[in-house]
Amino acid sequence: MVSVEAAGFRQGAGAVLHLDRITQVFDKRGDPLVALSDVSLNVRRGEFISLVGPSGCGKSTMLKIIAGLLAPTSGSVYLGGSLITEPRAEIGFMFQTSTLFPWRSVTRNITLPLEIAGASRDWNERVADVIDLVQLNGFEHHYPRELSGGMQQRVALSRLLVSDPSLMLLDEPFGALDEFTREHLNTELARIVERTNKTTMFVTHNIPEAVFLSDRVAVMGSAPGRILEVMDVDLPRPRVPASRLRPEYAEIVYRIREILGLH
Amino acid sequence: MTANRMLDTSSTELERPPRRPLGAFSVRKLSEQILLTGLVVLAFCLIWEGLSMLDPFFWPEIILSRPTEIFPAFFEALTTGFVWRHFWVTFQETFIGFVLGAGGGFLLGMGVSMSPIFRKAFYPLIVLFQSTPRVALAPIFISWFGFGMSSKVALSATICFFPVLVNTITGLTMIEENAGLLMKSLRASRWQTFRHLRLPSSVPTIFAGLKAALTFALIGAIVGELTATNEGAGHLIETAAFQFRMDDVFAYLMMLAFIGLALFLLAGWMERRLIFWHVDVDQPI
Repeated sequence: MVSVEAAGFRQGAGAVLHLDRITQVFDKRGDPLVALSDVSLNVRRGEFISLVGPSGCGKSTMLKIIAGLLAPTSGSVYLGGSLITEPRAEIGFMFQTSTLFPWRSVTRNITLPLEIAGASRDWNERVADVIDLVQLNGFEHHYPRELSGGMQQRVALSRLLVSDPSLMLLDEPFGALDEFTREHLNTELARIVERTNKTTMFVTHNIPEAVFLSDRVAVMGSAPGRILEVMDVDLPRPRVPASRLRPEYAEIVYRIREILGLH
Repeated sequence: MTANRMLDTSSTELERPPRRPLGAFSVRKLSEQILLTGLVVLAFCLIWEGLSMLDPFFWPEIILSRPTEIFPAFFEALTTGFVWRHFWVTFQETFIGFVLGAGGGFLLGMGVSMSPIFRKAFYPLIVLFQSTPRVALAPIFISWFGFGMSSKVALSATICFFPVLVNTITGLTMIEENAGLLMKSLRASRWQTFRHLRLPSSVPTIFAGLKAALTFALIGAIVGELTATNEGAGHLIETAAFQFRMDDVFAYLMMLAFIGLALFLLAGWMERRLIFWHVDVDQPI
């Protein structure tokens, strides 16, 4: 059940995303802060992998590096064999705050990536598809401030899905939501990734959430930020609310808590 | 079963919320407002009128006048052509001053916010001018541009210029960090980021500057007229005050107050239409 990734090897077989000895040092007013220390990781195509760990373990930093939003101090990230140096069209990013533009309606928020990419204007069907997928029907002409936090994150998710990225990076997307909405959206997200089969990296500090959604969970530690262990989650798919009743689920959650020193 | 129930409770999230159009206008709220404020004004006038009936030593009516004289003077002023001619002058000075000052502030603000070096170079100067009482420039403008309208326009424009400039710079440079990262991750160009993020998100801040500038424009024109001129509302007030026609002074002040209010309501109306999506829009005016 437990597998530790060996550091420092080149692109593994079947890996679409390859992190090679990433180190990130921030300069906090003269004090060097090691956010990530020598982190290596391989992600397979279509895999859902979560990064869990306490605040300050560098999980969000890692996501920004993969997205090409931040250049690592040392080390490299390869996507499909090519080095990432800047943001790419095939990578989609979702934030903890919905970052919806309040002056745009739901539909126009969703079309933003298409407008920026200069896509041809016949995107109505595509937009209708993602609205269907995240169940936003009937809210197309609402404005963000008319929506609850959960609904806003649905819009953010469809904005991510509309440009059909092959790699989705989700940075604590449900972190600001209440427990009911979070669990409901987890079920929805499981259904969506199982249907679209996208490679997904999911950052959270919620262990049950990570286990419920993932094929693997990378458990991270802080000071310096690093991967402690990568756990396989052998829960059958599709993941449904009842998946939480399975003994394996409870066991993995327990093991991760143990690694993080919560017992 | 537990899991199913969980799904059910949270699916209420999908029900449509009752929807009131954003930026909608409420007649009930407005009439309530007018009624409450009207009562305050009425009480104030009654007390004033009552005091004016007291001993003239105790209440010098000659310099304080009374509502029963002011209101007739106000309606007389409204129907007098020469009063309107003077107010028209003030209105033109205010309008042109506002357009020049606010327009200039907006354009320079855009320019300054484009480049960090510009911003660094200009900002201390802007703060310096911002904290100078700019009405003190009135005598300079009179000597530069003469007694006519142009000196008042210049003063009005100068006063309007800074709040719009500062708010434009603030609005265009302060954007939510994640929104900026989103645009970066979407590989938006500088122009696209400006067009789709910076400009729209700055509108509420810029509009707040414009609203302040609108009132400032009127102040600039009046102060200019009080300094030196032979026309305009400021001139009317000064002349009437010299002649102890206090009822007329108050009548002209009332007219100015109503013009100011009209400008403010106009700005509020435009704001509700333009930035209906902004949370603060529903706040009372």
